[in-house]
Formats: sequence, structure tokens, C-alpha cells
Amino acid sequence: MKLDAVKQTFIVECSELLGDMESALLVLEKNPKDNNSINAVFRAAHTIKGSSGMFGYSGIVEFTHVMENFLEKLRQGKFEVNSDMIAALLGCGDHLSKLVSLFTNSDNYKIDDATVMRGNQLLESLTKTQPGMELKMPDKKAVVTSNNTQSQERNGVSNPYWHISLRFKKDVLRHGLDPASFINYLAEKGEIVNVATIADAVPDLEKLDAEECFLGFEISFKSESSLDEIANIFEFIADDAYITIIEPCGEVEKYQELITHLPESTERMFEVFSEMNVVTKSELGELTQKKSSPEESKVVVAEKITKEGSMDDSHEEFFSKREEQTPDEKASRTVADTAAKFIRIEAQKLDNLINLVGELVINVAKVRQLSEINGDKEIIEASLTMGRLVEEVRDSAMNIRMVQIGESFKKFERVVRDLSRQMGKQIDFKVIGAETELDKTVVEKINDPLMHLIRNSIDHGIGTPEERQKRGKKPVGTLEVNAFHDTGNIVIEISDDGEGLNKEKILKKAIEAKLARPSTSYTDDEIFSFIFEPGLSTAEKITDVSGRGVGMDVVRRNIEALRGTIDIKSEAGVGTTMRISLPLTLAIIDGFLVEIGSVAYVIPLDMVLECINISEEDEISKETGNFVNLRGEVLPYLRMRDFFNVDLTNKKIQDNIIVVRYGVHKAGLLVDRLIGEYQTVIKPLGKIFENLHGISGATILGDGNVALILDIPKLIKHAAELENVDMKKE
Amino acid sequence: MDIETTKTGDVCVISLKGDLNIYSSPALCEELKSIFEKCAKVALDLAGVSEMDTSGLQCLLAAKKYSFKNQKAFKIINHSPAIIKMIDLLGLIGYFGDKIKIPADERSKYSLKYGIKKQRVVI
Repeated sequence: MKLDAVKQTFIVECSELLGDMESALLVLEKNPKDNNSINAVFRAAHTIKGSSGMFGYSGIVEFTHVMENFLEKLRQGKFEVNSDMIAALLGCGDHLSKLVSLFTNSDNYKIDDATVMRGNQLLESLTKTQPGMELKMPDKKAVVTSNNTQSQERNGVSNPYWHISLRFKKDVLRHGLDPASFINYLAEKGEIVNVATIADAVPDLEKLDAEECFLGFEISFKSESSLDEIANIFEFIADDAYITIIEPCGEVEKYQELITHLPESTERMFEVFSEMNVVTKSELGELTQKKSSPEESKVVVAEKITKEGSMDDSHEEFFSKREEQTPDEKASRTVADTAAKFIRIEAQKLDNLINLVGELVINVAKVRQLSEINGDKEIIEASLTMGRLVEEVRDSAMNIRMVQIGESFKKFERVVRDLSRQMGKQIDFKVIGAETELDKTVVEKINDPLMHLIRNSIDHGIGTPEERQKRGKKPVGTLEVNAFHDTGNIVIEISDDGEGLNKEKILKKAIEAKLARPSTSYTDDEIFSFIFEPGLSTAEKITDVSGRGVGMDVVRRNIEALRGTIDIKSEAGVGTTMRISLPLTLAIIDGFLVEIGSVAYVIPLDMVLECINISEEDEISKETGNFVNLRGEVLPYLRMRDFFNVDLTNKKIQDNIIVVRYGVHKAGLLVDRLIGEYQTVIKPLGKIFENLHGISGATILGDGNVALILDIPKLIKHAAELENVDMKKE
Repeated sequence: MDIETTKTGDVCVISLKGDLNIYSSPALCEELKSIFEKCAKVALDLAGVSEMDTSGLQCLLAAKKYSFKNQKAFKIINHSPAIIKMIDLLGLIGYFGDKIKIPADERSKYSLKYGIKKQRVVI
């Protein structure tokens, strides 16, 4: 089940990436010089390669690897985009989506020869768009293909007819399709030499649901038609059926695979095929022999399940296995099916809902106030009930957006396991705070960056057991993901006890990439921040997993898009901690209402540490000063009146300081009046106010007035800047 | 579709009239079930069936299987052209093993495929 969840995520992700790739290619077609789009295409191919590599789907890795090499040359400006290239790349994208969907419902992932051939053709056509450009085709594929040509000569069966194997989904009849009529149609297109109706799965009369289909057919078909033409006959039923078509004199392997995937037992199908003269006794002998290869155990297990399970189980299992059999017809549908299990809603729609609910809350409060003034008991009661219900609505609306972050951590476990095995490392993966709740959209967007960071830790951070022992560490490395709430933020830390970042190497690379000047000296933080620059990788060899230097810039961009920050702590030989800090970005927050001038402002309550009073002397004695003595600690503060240029006439001196905190920074805000806690529905400011300094949003108060929400992180930064200016003056 | 069951001696004869398709086959299945319980020898008269689809065929197959499993006699009699066409197309003539009467001049219409002998009786 766990793996299923991981696979689902992988598939959804891939289809998203492929979608991005497609739109980037389309942009590129119109504007061939658009570097962002080239990068987007490259990133998509790179990420798909990386994820597939982790799952061990070498078919996808090999294919994307060639694509990636090509795209990298493109990215380096070695040649220019042309329309042939776009067409070829779009074709490659479609092929990739097929490859991805191929493994959707199957555990043993195999790509049939036709698909491999198609892939190679696509890659060739891609290469041809640049004369003189040579791309190394995947070696393995070349071997596979040549094997196949040989096997075609050697292993073809003598049966001179097409073989068509049909099984149906139970619902096929309910969908208004009559399988027999398709066979009737087939008979018009050629000659049905022989047909076996497989009625093994038809239940007892007592249990038979006549509206469900349990029949299967094996057909020997004589025709001069092409594969496509025959496949077209079944076009309309393809969604409700599992169709395998094997060409005349097809390879024994194809029959072998067909038999493996049919729901009936192996002996049973041998019996049927031999009686139909689809495969002869001697060919069958060959088949049986092959069965005793390592694959046998798998087949036997599958059979056992079929026999033990109920009829329904065997049918469903059979269907799921069959998905990979007819990939072409199914490709797009499978992806859609999988995605249909989740409802993906545009975040904007949810925002709208929560916005409306927020207004509802405000209005209900108004109604209650009015009803109390009115004094009618029944109305008061009704409004109270309504208020309670509205609150429940609000809670569930909020809940839609909140998910436990552990959900997305799940897929990392598997990834760490596989990846560490692949690299011969021993890693103990720990998750702390999996139950921490976070806005769904944030979780989705933070997934990729986290994956990159984890991958990096495994690939570069933690060494092999031998390396670790040499350095006197225990052979098993630790990788820890820790999520927790911290003053209105969620913090996710990824720590390893590996080698730490190599400062010299990073600096060297940064200088090579002209990101740093050799003469300047840099602080640790500055050096670490170079790893977020595009194109910088310290990995010596490019692996399937990482090392192209595209990972970290994506990480930073994604995190910044969420208004978050990422910090690196690293000590050579001890380990690295990446600390991602994200705002919860909830539409409703608990706010603290204050007054500056005569206008109300809201401060997110999570960020408020305490409120203090300062004496007038303190205030007057340091007219230009921006510090206050907070129990022996120097606290920089901002005069909010000055900040917003509020007219000072007829106002008493401000004496309330609100101490706020963001991350590790603290600052005071000097305001006129404290009003109190207030639940706030954040309304985004329009585009015009996007760059407004110190304001992050607005809200409507119960009395209909507007209150602005203070952007505390920016204000703290501003206060810190003032502090620096002051220090320099001194 | 009309279903009518008569008893002649120890044989129950179920006669069908109309289309045997997904709409009517559930009724036929029900009828077969109840008649099999009462009767050791069941004959299905399909002379009046103008059309049959996969669902109808499946019902016949289930009845045939039931008869093998429970040692009942089950025969299809008076096949209408639609029935012959279907079981001929799907190679099931051998499986049902019933006598089929086809006028000599119509024989060329059918391939009379025997299908495979070893239809599995009981799973």
C-alpha cells in the first residue's frame, strides 16, 4: 500500500512535469530564444530522470538521459531551437508520458520492444534535427534490440495467423458494448480460423450477474491487415477490454508473456493454445522450459493468488496486471484514472471559499449583535445556532487545506531505502513531527525541494560505511527530517551526519562559474549560498540521482515562491542541516489588533511575544534612538507612527511596545493603542499594492472598517537595518 | 422477452420469445435457476429468439456449466438462426453439443467451427 502511494505521487508529479514541459516547448516554439523555457524543459526531463532512477525504472532513465544530454547542449547554447526540434521534443514528451503510464498498475515494470523501438526512433529524429550532433544512444537498448532481431529469426512460432486475445472488464456490457458484435465485425474483416471462448470465469448460475461480463476469447485470425487496422476494429471497446494482438509467426516470448498475464492458469492456456494450434507441442516444450527460469516463482505465486482469491479478486488482479500489456491504447487513460482518485482543486477556488466563509463569520456576528439589541428570544436562539454552524463550516473549510506533512514524507522513506542500497550506503532515516499540519498547497510545493535535499544528502553527504569508519563514525549514517511549528511558521529541517559541505570545493566551483571573485574573502554563509546558484555542482561524476547542478536553484526558487527561507548549517566532517522555514499562509489567522494614529492594524498573534510599556523618559530621552532596554537585552524598535507618517498633533505620546519575533530575530513595534485579539480573514491586496512596504494584506473588521495586516518579517528586517545604521554611526 | 415453462413428462421446457439480451437475460437466469431446482432435465427452446448478445450467451454458458456440475441434463433445442450464428461465431457448437438443424441450402452461411473440445467444466 505504501508503495502504491509513492507511485501515485510519482505519476501525478510526472504528468505535471510533462505538462510543464509541453507548455514550455510551446512557448519556445513561438520564442526560440526564451532561456527560461529551455531551462524548464531541461528541469522536467532532469527531474523525471531523477525520480525514475530512484524507482529503478531504467527504461525511463535511459530515454530521458539522452534527452537530457541533448537539452543540456541546447541550454549551453551550442545550437539553436528550430521547429523540427520542438516537434521531436514534443514527441519525446508524449513517449515519456507513455513510459510513465506503463508502470502505473504493474509491479514488474517491462517495456515491450515496440515501445523501445519507438523511443529510439524519437531520439534519432531528435538527433537528426542537428546535423553533426552526435548523441550516445543508450547501450543497453542497442543490445536489447539486436537480441530481438535475432530472436525473431529463431523464436517465431509456426502459427501463420494473427493471434488476438481478448478479456473484458466486468462493466463492458453495462457500458452498452457487446463483445460478440466486435468479433462479428472482425469476421467481416478477415477469416476467423479458430476461436476459443474462455468461459472459465463465468460464475455459477446462482451467483451470475447477467449484466457483468466474464468471458474471454482467444482468436486465430487470418488477414492481410496491418496491426493498426486490426487494433482499430477494437478501438471502441479498448477502454473496457484488455486486448493483446500478436502478429503471425510472433515470438514465443510474446505468447509466454501473454500466458503469464492471463487470469487463467498456465496449464489451462497451454491446453487451449495447443488445441487451437496457436503454438505447437514442440514450441510449447520450449515455452515450458523457459518457465523454469527464475521467472517461474513469480508465475506460481500469481497463480496461487488467482486460485485462492475470490472470483472478483482474480479478475481485478488480472486487470491490473494487464494494464501494461496494451500500453498504447491505455496510456493516457491510465494516467487519468490514477489522477481521478484525488480531487485537485485550484487553490484560488479554495481561497475564494475561505474568503466567503470569513465574511459569513463577520456577518453572523453582526446578526447576533442586532438580535440581542432586538431582544426577541427566538431570533437570538436562531442566530446562536447559525453562529455555531458557521463556525463549523469555517473549520471544515480550513481543514480541506490542512494535511499532515507526514503524508508526503512517506515517499521519502522508500526513496532513501532504495537509493542507499543502490549506492551501497547504510542510512537510518528518521522522521520527526510527521503529524505537523500544513496547508496543502504548501505541502505540494515543498515536496520537490525536500526530495532534492534528501537526494543530495544521500548522494553527497553521507558516505559509504567504509568511508565513515575511516573517519571514526559509526557505519550507519543518519538522515533526519524534522517538522515543527515555530511562531506562525513551519520549519522543516533535513539533517545528515555526513561529510558536511566542502567549502573550498564550492568556492573553487563558484569561481570557475564566475559567481565569486578569487580575491574576495567570503563568510561561510556566503559560500554555502553559492550552492543555490544555477549550474553549480560539486559532484565529480554525474549520476542518475544528482549532480547536474540544477537541483539547488530549483529548491531555492520553490521555497522563495512560498515566501519561505532556507538556511544551511554545515560543519566539515560532522554533518549538514538544511533549515526551511515557511509561513503557514493560512487565509484565517489569529490576529492582534492595534491602533496607530487612528487606523487599526493587525499583527499575526503567533509572532507576538509580549507587550511592554515604556516610560515617557525612556522615550523622550532618546529622541532619535531606536533601542529599548528589555530586561537587560537591547531591543531595536520601530516607531510605527513615523513608519507610516501619521500626523502627531493632538496625540499623546506612544508608550506601548509590542515585541514580535520572526525566526531568531526580535524587534519592538511602538503603537498607540492595544485593542486585543481578533480573528482575521486575510484578504490579499490587489496588484497595485503588491509592493507596499510593511503591509502584507488587509482584513475587514466587524464594524465594516478595513484593517491592514502588518508584514512583520519585513518590519523586523527594517528595524535590523536601522540598528545597523545606528551602529555604524557610532 | 417472454418466458414460458411447460412440463412434458420429466422434462421441463423453457421457451423464449423475443430478444435475449442484457435486459432480458437476468430474467432467464432467474428462471433457469428455479427450474433447475425442481427439474432434472431441462430443455431450452430458442426457436423464438430473434437476437442474442454476449450477456444472453453468458447465461446459456452458465446454465451449461451448472448442468455439468450438478449432473442435470440441459439441452438447447430449436436454435433460431441468431443463436446458431452466435455459437458458431464463437466456436461453441462443440461445447453445447446439441443437435442443430440447419437446412442444407443455408449451411454455407456458417463456418460450423467446432471450437475447442476442452472447455473447462468446473473451475
